[in-house]
Amino acid sequence: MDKIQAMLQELYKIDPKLQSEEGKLKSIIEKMIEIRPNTRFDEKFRLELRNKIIEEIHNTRRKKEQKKILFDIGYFVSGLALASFVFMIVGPNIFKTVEKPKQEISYDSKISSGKTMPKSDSLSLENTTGSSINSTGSQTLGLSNTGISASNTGIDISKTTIIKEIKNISGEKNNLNQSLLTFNITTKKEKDDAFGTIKGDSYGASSGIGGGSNTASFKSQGTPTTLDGTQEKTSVPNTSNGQKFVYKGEKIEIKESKMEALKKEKKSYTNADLNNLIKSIKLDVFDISKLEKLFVNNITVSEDKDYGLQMNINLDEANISLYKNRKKWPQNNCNTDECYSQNKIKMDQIPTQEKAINIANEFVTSHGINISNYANPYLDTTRLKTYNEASYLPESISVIYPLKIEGKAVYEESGYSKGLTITIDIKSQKVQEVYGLEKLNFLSSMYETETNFDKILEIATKGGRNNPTVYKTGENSEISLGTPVLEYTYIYDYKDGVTEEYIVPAYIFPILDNQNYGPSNIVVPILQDLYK
Amino acid sequence: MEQIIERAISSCKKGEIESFGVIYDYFIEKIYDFCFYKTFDKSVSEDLTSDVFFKTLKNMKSFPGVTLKDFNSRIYRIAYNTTVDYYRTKKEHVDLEIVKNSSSYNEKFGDNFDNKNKLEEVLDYLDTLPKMHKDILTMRIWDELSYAEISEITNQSVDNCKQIVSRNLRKIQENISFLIILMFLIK
Repeated sequence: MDKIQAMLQELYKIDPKLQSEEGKLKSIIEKMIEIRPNTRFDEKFRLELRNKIIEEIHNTRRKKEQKKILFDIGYFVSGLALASFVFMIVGPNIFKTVEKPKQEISYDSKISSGKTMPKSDSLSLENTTGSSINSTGSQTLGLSNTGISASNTGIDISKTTIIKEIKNISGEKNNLNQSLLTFNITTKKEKDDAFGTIKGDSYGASSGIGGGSNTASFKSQGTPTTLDGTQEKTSVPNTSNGQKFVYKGEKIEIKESKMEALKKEKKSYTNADLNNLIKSIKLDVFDISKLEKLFVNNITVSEDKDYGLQMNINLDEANISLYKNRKKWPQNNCNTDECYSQNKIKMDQIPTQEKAINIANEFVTSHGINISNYANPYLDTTRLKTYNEASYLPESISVIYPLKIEGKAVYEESGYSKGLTITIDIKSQKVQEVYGLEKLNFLSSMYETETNFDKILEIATKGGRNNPTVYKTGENSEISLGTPVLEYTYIYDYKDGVTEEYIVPAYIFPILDNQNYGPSNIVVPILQDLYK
Repeated sequence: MEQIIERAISSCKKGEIESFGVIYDYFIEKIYDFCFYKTFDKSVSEDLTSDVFFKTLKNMKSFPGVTLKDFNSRIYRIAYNTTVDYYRTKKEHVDLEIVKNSSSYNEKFGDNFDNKNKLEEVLDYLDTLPKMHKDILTMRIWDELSYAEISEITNQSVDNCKQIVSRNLRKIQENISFLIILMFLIK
């Protein structure tokens, strides 16, 4: 039963007479639905509000932590007052009867004895496990424990501890309690053409697609193809293998002569307290503290459980990736073809799109992954397209959450969607890899754009500006392109040993034919710089 | 999906508010649309939607139940009250002139004078209904909320909500000129 019928049935129950007017009522409801206003919900608003809410959540979390510690301090101070009171009234009498501890006393008993403690700043404390904790480098981690021990008797050291903790909570400097990386997209506006000429001459260099020796800008190599208002097709024979991209879309009029280009800000997100913590690690074979200006640029941690994952936090590139902790996953120990054949994945084991997305979404939720910068996920079926009976099906399958910046989708110039990839192991139906979770801080600047659609089309009908994917071979192998959508693409510039990453406006031409291989789009960036 | 949302609701109620993002993603467009159908103004709807989510975030620990159904009623109730408060403090009802001049209105019906004229008549007609009736009618047909949900949101009984929808549809059906307008409108 469709939703209009459902609505009518509900109404008949309350007013059976309406049943005789079903035709008219149905028509009225249909028309009411059709005049439903276009609410013009925009993606920018969704992201902005999401960021505000995330900020609010962080603030709330921080306030809660502060309250908790202030409560602990209050509790501690009350205990301190009570202990002091008890000590003053009862202590002298007790000490008269208790034998004074000897020299092999523990740290706690030293305090109990009322001896003056050295100043905490220069104090090297020995904790119960026997490891050494340096107070200057690990106030939050170590001293709070000793502070609590001291509260039994109320010695000066406790005050120092409290002050140190409060300083840390107030966030006057980097603190291990704070997020090392937050993943909200930020954009800082700069003047026009602020990044100089964007050449994009190292296409795919940092993503491993193509190589650094490819062509740079796309200067026209012949008479541009023209479209008159009525013409629907443009056919440009091209590419060495005979494949021909044919445009079957509409003519686009580009009105904006300047558009926003974004440059990814490169900075390390290493953390001062983390660096100090590493410095304080003692090794028998090496004195880490002798290393100068030490900083942490990579953290790798592993889950010690069945189907556990390893996580790598790259603080230089500000990204996080997770992958299989191989020691904790079942291994394929096949040595014979028969064994391989028995163990190969069968079509009915491949999860449906809905199931795969559910697995990915559950992982996202349970692991607190912030997906505010990503659009609705889809199952990447690229690797399944080439399957035939003789070949092996992949062992894993990926769900992609496409990256969205200011409401626009972002593509690699190769035509693939850029985003967060969650890969699922087909046999176990568990997540085995998460890739593409990165911090995106951008500088933004207005750049001139190519407004001649024919020039853009010329590049599109060559399959893009670099090494087009071979979809079909043979004479007159036509590949149809549909009307493009204005989105973003990543381009890369290699300068002085550093790869700069830009996100620039681009037309995304959909490939209309069913193809068994390669990306489904031809991407053409439209910055003027690239056409010079 | 429902399970994921319910898990997020349950986590948030336990104080793990980081899961709120999942709830936000599920509801944001629905709540924004809901506010828009009450105000016909994009920027006001955005403000009201922000209010709704911040209120929800603040109060969700005290929401009864952890099912999506429970939560649905609660968040729409907040949205409804927020729009009612907005009108209480700002103005009595939507100024139709604003709607008619709004860009979304123009975007939908373009420069076609006839279509615009007809929509204006429809809006005028809807505007003759008592606010509660108009709200209930649009909640059922535009927001596609169930009568049980509308009942929770508006504090009216389910039967009463059904009566209101049926009575108003009957009125529309009896209004021949309105029907003709609608017929033309969709062409």
